[in-house]
Amino acid sequence: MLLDVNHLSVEFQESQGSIKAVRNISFSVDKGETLVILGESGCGKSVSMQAIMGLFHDQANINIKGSVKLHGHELLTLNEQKRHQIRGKQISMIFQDPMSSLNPTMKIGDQIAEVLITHKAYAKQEAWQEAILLLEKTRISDAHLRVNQYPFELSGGMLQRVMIAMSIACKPDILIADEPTTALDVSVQEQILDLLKTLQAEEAMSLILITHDFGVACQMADQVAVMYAGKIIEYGALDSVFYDTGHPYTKKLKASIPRLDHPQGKPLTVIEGSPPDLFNPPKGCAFTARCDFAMRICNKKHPQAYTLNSEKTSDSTHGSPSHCADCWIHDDDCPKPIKTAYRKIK
Amino acid sequence: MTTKQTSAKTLEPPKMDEKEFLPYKGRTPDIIQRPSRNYWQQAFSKLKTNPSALISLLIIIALVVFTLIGDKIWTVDPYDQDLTQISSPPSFNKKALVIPDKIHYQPIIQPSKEEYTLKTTSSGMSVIGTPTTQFIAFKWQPVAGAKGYQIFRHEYLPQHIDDLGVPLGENEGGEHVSYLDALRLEPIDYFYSIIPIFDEGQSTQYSTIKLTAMDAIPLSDAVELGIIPIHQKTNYLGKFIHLPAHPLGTDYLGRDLLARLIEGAKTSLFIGVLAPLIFVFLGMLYGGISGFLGGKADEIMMRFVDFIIALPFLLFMILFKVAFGIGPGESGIFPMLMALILLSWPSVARLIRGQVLQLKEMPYIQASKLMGANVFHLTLKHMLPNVTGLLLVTLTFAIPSAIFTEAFLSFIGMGVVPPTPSWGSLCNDGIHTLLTHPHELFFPALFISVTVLAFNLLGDGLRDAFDVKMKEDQR
Amino acid sequence: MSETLHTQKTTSYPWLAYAIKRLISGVIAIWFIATATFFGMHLIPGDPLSSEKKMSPQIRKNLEARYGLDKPLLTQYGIFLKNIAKGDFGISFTQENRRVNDIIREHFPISALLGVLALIFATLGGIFLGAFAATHKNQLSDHVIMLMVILVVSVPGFVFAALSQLGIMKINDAFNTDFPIAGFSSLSHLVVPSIVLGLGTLAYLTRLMRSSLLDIESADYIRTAKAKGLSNAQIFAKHKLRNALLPVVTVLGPAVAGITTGGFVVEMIFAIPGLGKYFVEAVQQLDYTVIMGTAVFYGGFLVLTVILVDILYGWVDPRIQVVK
Ligand SMILES: Nc1ncnc2c1ncn2[C@@H]1O[C@H](COP(=O)(O)OP(=O)(O)OP(=O)(O)O)[C@@H](O)[C@H]1O
Ligand SMILES: [Mg+2]
Repeated sequence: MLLDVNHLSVEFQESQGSIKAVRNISFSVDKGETLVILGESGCGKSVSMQAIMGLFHDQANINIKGSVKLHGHELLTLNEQKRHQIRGKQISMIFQDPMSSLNPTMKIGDQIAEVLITHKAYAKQEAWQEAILLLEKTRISDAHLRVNQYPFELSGGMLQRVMIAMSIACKPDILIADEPTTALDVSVQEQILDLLKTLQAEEAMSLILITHDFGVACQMADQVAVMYAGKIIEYGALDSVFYDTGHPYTKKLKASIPRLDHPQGKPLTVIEGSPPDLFNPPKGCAFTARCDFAMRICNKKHPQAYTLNSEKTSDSTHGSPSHCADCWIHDDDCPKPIKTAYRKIK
Repeated sequence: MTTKQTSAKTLEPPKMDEKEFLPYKGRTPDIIQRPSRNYWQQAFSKLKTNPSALISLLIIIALVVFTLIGDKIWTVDPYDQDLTQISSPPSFNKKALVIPDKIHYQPIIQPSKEEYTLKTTSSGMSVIGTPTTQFIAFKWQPVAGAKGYQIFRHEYLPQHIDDLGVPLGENEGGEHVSYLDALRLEPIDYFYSIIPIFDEGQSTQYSTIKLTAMDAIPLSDAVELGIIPIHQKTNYLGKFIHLPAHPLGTDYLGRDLLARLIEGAKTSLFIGVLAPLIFVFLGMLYGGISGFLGGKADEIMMRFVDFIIALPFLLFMILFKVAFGIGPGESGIFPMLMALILLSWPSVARLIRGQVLQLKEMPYIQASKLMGANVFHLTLKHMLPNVTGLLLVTLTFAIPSAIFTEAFLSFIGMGVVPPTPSWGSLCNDGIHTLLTHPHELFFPALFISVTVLAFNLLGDGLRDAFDVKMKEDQR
Repeated sequence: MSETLHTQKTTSYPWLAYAIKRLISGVIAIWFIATATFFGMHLIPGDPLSSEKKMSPQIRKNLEARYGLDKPLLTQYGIFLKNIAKGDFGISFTQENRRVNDIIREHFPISALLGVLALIFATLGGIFLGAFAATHKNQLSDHVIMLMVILVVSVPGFVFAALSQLGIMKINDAFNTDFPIAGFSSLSHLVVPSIVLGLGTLAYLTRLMRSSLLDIESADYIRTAKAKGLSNAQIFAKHKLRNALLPVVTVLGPAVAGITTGGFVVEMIFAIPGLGKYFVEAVQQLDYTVIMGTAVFYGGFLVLTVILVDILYGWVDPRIQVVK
């Protein structure tokens, strides 16, 4: 495995208590593979990725547990110097809002060249030449003009291309893209996703893509991890998760994909209620309050991960994880009628 | 999570009740409930958690009490001059010897009989009578051949003849061997030195005596101050009496500093609070109207504001103060108030206008407009509550800067005119005696600083509590 | 690519247009200052010559003619404006035959030198202390610096001036040294006065720099810089510092104004023969032409400073050219 994340937890110590933003998540990513992490706003997607990047290390009020291994080497306990060497070179990240993620008073060229100068000891001249090439690779128009511009002079889509150019500058083993398309309009979204896919194939890079759009997941993913209230509640290969969905929450996410074949006038499904308070995450399954199939046990005890071995996905590629979901519905004790009712809904 | 057992049963045999799998009834969409409180309650509960703002508030209340009823408690007249205690440091229980009004002193004339030379020790020098703060007299052995003596006074023991510096006085004639010093004496140790002068010039020898001056008060002064009754005044001669207490000392005219600070607080806080109240109100009106009208009117009104803001503030404070302030019997308070108001309202107007423009675009204002609410109602109902936080914070920050302005102008002599005290003019008085009596500058400066500090900290607290965003500007 | 450029590479010079626009508004502001000064001074009851003691009607007439006081107010105003446009501020009332221009020429350089030293001390010190406090947030040194800042901001400047003078005197007494206490005959006379003068601005800039750095600390682009693998020192030097300095640049205009007027007091206390001391004396002696001349001169100087700072800001912050 290229990247192995095990039992990662992140807590923010605030004056009112601690926010348990990420609670004991585990997943892994293989070389060249795409993992899509799905989940609604505030479920801890960004926080978990930033913890993997070690971006919280100089903050005092944060408690990180678990392990993150890249090529088998632990990242969380690295010393500062080593961490700086790995970031941006072996593992790099694209952030949610490209406009605010770029330094407003620094030329685009400088911001890209900086990575090359730092990691590859390029001279400034060289680095700028390389920056133009990188920008061209992201299919931005007039790359040689762009390097001399400032972020406020570019559109959101162009800025995201700049971010991508910057993050692939050192040909990282793994690229984390945190909702790279959320801030962009639909036509640009498609282009950016295409670009990511092409680049990934060219460089044989692994990709972790974060989104709250199941549609994007279908388009990009090899593996899918669904997060809810700081936990991964379903995890598996895309096909398996899509066709043999193991968690009521995932089903609802699926139902909220806008589809062309929907009857006209039928409103999109909305997931009612709001996610739980992360100061005091419930003892049982966090989704209980919003779940159509909630049982008494759900409120009392968090279900363990049940592996779902359906025939359809048993041919899943070697090494990749099996499909599992945290839901009592898969327990042997769960009454038949509930199981049937669950299976019936889309 | 990568490899898990197929069934839960094999890992942990759960002894689970069948009932546990019954549908869960407590399904309530858990909307996060927070106690709903209004803007003011929220702001004040936030303010309550801010210790420095709370302490500042207490200090400000104490200051107001000090200003309003201080002169009822400390009834000393701030204009009364206690000439027996000029520039006296803080004292509560000072005693003084009652001495006759007339100084009984006869210069001693004693021609030299034999050869006598001076040594640096107090050889041949001796005191006449009791050294007091009213006068100190002393005499010395005549030096043969001297045609006069130079007398020096120091507050430390001179180590060498070169340390003596400028003489206090000079006696002509070798037989004039005594000296009376009544020049601004204080109850401390004095070192008097004498050097004989010969025909060929100054002697290389000198002699020094150390004398400690004792607090003393002439009889008639004590009667005048009402310390001793007039009909039995002679009984008190040579006795010690208590002098009037001056908890913060006196100034260079012997006026009680505490009383003057109370009186000065009236001036300083009058200007410091009234001016901001007025200009914040004016600015609110102007800015509110401008923002409300919008369009061309707003543009013209704001252009005018821009011009006044462009005026260098303190420079024009001085000019306007001068322009308004020439007139007989003018204490300088009114011109300063006028100048402060004239120059300060525009920045408030600009702030309020911005806020009003922003509020005007708010959906709820737009909505109530559509519902047919009239303009006046709209302003009062929706706008006022929203700008009060901003106004309060602006006011709190305006007060210390007004106090500073008053102090600055009074200090350079462009503000409050003597004898009216203000904290600034007291500082101005105090600076002249800084080297010898630092308390005269220290106390007024302390009052200014503590007041300004308290208002600034309270302002910081209010700003956080009301969550007001404002650009800090400096004058 | 479907995205189109938001901004075209403009062939004109937005920077120049901006500067010219600002300069025109500056001229208007100076006119306003001159007008306010003129009518402000003529509001004064009585006339400039009434303070002089007994004066024969003939002499009075001559003087009135000499200062143009015999003409109607509006004519005087017109002449005043015309002279200002020519850069002529007239002749002093109290020091006969001395031209206000000469007074300014002689005394302003000293004030300017003092002010520049104070400004350098305040800006460098404020930036350094603010950055130091921000990088040591919530540590002892941060608390100490911020406490000092609050104290300095709350104590009137003249108190520091007086105290420093007292301090030098005590040091001179104790160590037999000879540091200058007052006057101006060499640059060393300006060391302590400029420190005292810059102190308030230093405190203000320290606070500004600290809060601006702390704001930036949580900015998204700093996170990006970390993710790129830059070291903390690199991030500080290349990303934080410049952006944190932007707010500092915006307050340089008001800071110059503060230092200029603060200079009045410092020049008075340290007996430095600058224009500020002269201005205060002129006000005390009601020397009308000197008051008006120096006020307009100072006003113009400050207006120009603010414009210069704005242009400087446009140069430091690339975004400004389009926003304006
Ligand atoms: N620095 C922080 N300090 C305290 N709490 C934080 C911090 N960063 C994130 N959180 C909290 O952690 C939780 C998870 O946040 P996160 O940013 O990971 O959400 P997300 O899944 O990325 O959502 P989105 O789709 O909106 O980006 C949120 O409740 C958030 O309030
Ligand atoms: Mg996120």
